[in-house]
Amino acid sequence: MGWSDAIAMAGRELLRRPGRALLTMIAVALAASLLTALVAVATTARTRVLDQITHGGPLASISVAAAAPNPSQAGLDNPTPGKAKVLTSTALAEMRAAKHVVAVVPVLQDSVEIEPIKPVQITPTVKVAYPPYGANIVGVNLGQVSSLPVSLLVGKYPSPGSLTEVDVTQSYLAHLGLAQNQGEKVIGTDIELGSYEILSHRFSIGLRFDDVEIVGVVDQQAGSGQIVAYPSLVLGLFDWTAAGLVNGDRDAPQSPYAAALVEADQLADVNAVRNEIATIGYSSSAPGNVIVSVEKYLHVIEIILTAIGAVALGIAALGIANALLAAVRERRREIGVMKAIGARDRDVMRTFLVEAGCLGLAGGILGTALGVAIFLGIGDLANSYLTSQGLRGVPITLAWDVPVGAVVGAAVVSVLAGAVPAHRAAKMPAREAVEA
Amino acid sequence: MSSSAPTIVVTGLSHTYSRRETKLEVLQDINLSIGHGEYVSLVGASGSGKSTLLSILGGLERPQTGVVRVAGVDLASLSGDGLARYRQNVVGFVFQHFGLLEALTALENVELALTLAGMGTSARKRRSAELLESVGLSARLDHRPFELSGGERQRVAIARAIANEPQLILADEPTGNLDVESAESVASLLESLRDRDGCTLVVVTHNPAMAALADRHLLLRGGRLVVDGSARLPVSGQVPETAPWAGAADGLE
Repeated sequence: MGWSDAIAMAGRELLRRPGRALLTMIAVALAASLLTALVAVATTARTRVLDQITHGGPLASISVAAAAPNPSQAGLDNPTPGKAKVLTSTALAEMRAAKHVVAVVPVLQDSVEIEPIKPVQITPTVKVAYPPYGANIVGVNLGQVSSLPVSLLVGKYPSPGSLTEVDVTQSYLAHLGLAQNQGEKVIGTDIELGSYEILSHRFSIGLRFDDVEIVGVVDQQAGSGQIVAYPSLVLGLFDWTAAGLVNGDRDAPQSPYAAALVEADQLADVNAVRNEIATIGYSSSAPGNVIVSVEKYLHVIEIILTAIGAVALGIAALGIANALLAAVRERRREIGVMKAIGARDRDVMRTFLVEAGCLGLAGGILGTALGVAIFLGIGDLANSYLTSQGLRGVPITLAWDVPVGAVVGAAVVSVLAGAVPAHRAAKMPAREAVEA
Repeated sequence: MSSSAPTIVVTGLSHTYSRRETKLEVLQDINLSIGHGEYVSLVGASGSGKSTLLSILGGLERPQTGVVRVAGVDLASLSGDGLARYRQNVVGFVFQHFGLLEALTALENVELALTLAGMGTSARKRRSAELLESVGLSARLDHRPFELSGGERQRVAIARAIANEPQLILADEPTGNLDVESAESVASLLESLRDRDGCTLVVVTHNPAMAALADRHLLLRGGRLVVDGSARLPVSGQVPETAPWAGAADGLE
């Protein structure tokens, strides 16, 4: 008897007692849904925790300071940098060329005067006005946001290369007296960014104002500043300031880069890349050691949650074994008849294994679909809560291996559970056919 | 209708069932030979060993002592798969309880025997339909067993038994669960198959009409073959203990 014949036969037998088959399948489905949901939630929680540590940046992210390395701090996640050192384009190019480096994103930083063009409307009746104040603006290529510790909370990122759109951080909201979850109040408001130029006359200061629109609120650790924009905008301000400094100050910086962010291939390569950066001559920091420690704890949690799901699947497997043992008892004579008309032991065994596999596969597919739906529901709820609190949401994504693993796992466990009844059926004496 | 070339040769067959410390000798020193194409009735009281003998002849059980040769094959020498092939190709079974698989239709029940023999899908479907037509069930192909009468179920079982053109048909009280009319129909169907295909037919029966159709009668009593005769039986009354030749058995024991 071939597999296709065994499948057809098993299908008929399962449909013969649909109630029993349905209940057994539901048990598998519930177990598979629990397993899927738990694993998916554990995976998402892991992502969320690591995301929190890296501020939305990649795990293998390295911050390079515009400073020389401090040999006494080598190997630390956050070493105290050595003497300030200009971060040149040449140095950045060397980092890009280093082994295991995926991306190098330079960070520009400049001090600006922030001045509202008009008060911010908090409620229909309340407006917040504030006097001009000094803060920093950070310029990074937001087109490479996946390589940056920058994540959007509300609104959007500035349009690529925009000179008129910026994002702000929650520090800006705090300056306005707004709560973390009131980010949308500043979206669409305009501010002026004032930058200084020390003119060649020692005590003269030139001021340049750029009108920009706030289009989003972000959480960022790319640099130190309340305003985030594309480098083109910051470079304009920087050049304006630098032009004056060059004229009047011999110590004017040679490079606009305040720092750089380097992304390594993977977490395991971070130390090698950091060593390379030190060789090039710069101090770097990365939360690698913290991440490794946290990952170990998270892995324990994943194992526990997976084990809970696996126990549920084990119980469902016992249900399958029980149902099939009952079927073997009921079908003693039929099994004898099958043998009497020429079925070999393995033909009988195959039929029962296929029955178990069908129950497991159907239950696995149904349960996994349910588990994915539960996970998506929980994810939506969690994100609604996080967003309402002005926090970064959780990326609700599910790796393909979780549902596939759950379906395959349910089928395999079910087949294993069916092995004992199938073996018992296969070894049933053919004489059962003539027993009364 | 018998042939000189024997299909079945049984020599010194004994068989014992053991349960815990109890031993039950169900067959004792059976010796017999059945020729090709013979129609043999196997009769005896309940527990006389008829079903066990039928099981051994059909390869459902291995002979413990003695030699059983069917179609030239020593059944004791066959492996598990060898016995399965033997049951598939050499023997056709007909049971009192019909032995149809409830989950399958009449056509699929017949098809199962051909599936196990490795026949391709379209060929086996065609042959199954022909077989059911030959037993008068062409209108019942898609009916499941519970939708058929007792006589119809037994005819499906007969169609399945002859699907692989066996040399030997073993029937265990094939009319035991049937009304008189259906029993007659099934009995004559089996006889006609023997006449048509020339296969050997061994039938365990309590039905005098069916037993009367046989060429030869074997009477088992207490596990022993006490009568092997060909006297014509009456078509009514009890079988076997009141049969005309049954009294002779007393003298043999």
